[in-house]
Amino acid sequence: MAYNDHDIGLMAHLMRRAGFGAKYDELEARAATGYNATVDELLHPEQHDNGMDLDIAERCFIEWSHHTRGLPEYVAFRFINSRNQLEEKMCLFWHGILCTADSKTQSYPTSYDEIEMFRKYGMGNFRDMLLEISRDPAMIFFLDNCLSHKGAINENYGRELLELFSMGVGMDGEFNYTEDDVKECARAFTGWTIANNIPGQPYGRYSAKFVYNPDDHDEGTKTFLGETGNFDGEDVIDIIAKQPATARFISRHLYSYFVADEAQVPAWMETPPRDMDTIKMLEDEYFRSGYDIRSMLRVLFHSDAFKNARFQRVKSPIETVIGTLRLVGDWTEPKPGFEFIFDEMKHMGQEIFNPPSVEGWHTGREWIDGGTLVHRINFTADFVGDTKQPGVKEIIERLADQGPVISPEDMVDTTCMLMGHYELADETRQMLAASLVKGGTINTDTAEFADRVSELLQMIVATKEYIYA
Amino acid sequence: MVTATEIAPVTFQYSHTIGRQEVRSGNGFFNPVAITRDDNGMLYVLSRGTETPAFFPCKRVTVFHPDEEEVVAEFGQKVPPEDADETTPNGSFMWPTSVALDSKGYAYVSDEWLNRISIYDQERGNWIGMWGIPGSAEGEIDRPAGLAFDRDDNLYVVESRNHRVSVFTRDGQFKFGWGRKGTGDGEFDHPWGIEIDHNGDVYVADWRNDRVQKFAPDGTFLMKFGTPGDGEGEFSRPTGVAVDKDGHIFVTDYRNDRVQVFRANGSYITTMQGQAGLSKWGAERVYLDPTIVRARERALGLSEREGAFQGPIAIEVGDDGRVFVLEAPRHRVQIFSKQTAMFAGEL
Repeated sequence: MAYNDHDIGLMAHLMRRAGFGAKYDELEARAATGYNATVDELLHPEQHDNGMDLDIAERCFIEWSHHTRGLPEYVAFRFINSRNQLEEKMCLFWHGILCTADSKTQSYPTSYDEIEMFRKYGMGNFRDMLLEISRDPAMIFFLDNCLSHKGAINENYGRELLELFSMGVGMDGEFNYTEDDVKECARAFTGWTIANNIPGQPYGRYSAKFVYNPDDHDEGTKTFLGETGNFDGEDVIDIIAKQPATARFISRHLYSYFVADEAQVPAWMETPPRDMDTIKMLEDEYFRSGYDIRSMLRVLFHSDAFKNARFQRVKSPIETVIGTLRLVGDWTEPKPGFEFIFDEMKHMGQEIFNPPSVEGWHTGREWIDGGTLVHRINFTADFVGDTKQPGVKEIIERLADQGPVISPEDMVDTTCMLMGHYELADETRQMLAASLVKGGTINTDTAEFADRVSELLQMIVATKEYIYA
Repeated sequence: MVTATEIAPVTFQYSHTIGRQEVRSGNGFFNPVAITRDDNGMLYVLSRGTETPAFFPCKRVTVFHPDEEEVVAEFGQKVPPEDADETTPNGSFMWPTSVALDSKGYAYVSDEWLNRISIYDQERGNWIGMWGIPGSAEGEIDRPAGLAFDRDDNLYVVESRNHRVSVFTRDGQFKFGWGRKGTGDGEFDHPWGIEIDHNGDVYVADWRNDRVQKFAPDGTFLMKFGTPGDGEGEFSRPTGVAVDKDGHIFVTDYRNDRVQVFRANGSYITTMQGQAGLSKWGAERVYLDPTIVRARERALGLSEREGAFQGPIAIEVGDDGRVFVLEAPRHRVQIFSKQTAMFAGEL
């Protein structure tokens, strides 16, 4: 399907995936700029101001300034307010793959350093990202590489680097590496450790620091993925980066995060990609570009597979919460009470900085169960039902601009459009319109019009369709 | 002829550190943002705290003696965010920013969310009143930050979001004010800390302009110093300012994690980097748990990393040469004594 560069529906799709959604006025402005130009802008945050007054936010939430506390809220505030939406979305992408958890690391300053590393390298070279995560103090502590010593290796990091961070267990029904590769990998990373950190008492947490201890590094010859030499961690990463399995692994992750829900990672060895043509295209770009994530994203966002994949992904809890707040225009400025956002995400099944395991969160339909669905609908309905929210007001005003009377069908269609071109099944659309009919003629210049809009918004966010991005 | 000539920059002798992270109450602070000292030498530290419900008494003023290190009073209480509006109970804090003492020892606390100045007595910190009308018109306040009393008990209130200084009587009657948003002389961008020196001149930490401005008591612009950056005489969001009897100006250079010291004319003298050790209150906590003791023994670069200032946010200096530097993220006060090298003799 061919798209106009200025198609607002396509822009809504792009901003839901390459960001956390946008209000209709932003979609209009971006569509006027054009799809291609917007993709370029998103891919190059270093060329654009993020539009946030973070110094003022840190002044209000004093604990954000040195990140001793409040890191989930700080990150959420950035998700909501940064103009560089893809940069933020990539932080979340890597946080869900190269997982560490604060439940073990217990150091927000160290987790902050990790997130900033994701921000810096998130759209860069994948080899560099693997190198940085291998030096990341949070990761070294989380996966016990600080307990891996010359002559007494701890395989934890070596195993997860291969299994969950770069190659995956297998591809096309074949194993990608052996147990010996895991051990040799772990040997190569001996000596990559962290300084003994300062305890949290009495003056609060400090960020941990990477240390390379040459005396604890195994200098012996290693054979890894068919190559032999006196490898250290950097050599191992060079070997990993050039593997076809690595190209497949990162391509499937990008596809699942940005295009359509894939099978869960543990099933990837036996379950082929749902769209092999697009995966192949991404794999080719991985090698052509020298492992450059930004190049892969550019190819992805310009592909028909991406453009045609509307509402093929279940929104994650974080996407649901942040997307809803961006839609209604709340929390554009600091104000008391922001800690609730952390609980909302957690109750929907995604506790930022605490993924359930090193495997990260299972995605797609696994986000949804009876409890999380109810919480998701209640949260979104509460916010879109609040007619004082700026974004809700804008929707009401735009609907009122349709004329003194609006038909139920037009009201449903226009509201869905203003929420970001949501597409309802015909049956759902008819049910919503029928519900409006029961309320009588819809006069846009009456006092109760705002309430009718808010009720419709609440019904829309309770539909199956709204669960998807 | 006997003269006294400054022949070397001032130096500082580290004394000791007071504080620890204490999320509830007692011997410690939690995200402290303001400090002042009464005529008896007692320190008042205002903890801004956090919104986490479990840490309920974390927003408070702690009164203690800097040498005996005994808490003698605590006052103020936290209000839950959902109740932080015009109905907030008397004496409660949401986003407290500063504390100042009048000549009778009454404590005045500004709250930049509630737009209130709350007043507490000098005995046990009982709430005795408040004033403040939110707004931007003359006599109204928007986001009050730094507070300072002059000799006549006029309260100078820095208004962050009105980008100005307003002067009130103790009971909140507006007298005069100056400033507006901008970068010119006498203009501000989200100002924060304030100090009044022995001559009655007023110094304002012009936070987002990364500079300090000095005014006559009536608001007449006198001088400014500082530009954005991390070099000598440059600032990254200066929060607090204090002036000692010698006219030396101390500025907490918040984002640069340092305190800079200037001559009365605004020329740079030196930088303080901090050298905190284990405080008495900190030791009380550390020695409760042998694993913390061992972890501190093993920690790499403990004295350098723990000693350095992090987020120095407010500063108090006394005529006795003592300097008290408050660090928000580290929940402590580092105390120093100024050593001024002087030559006395025939020239």
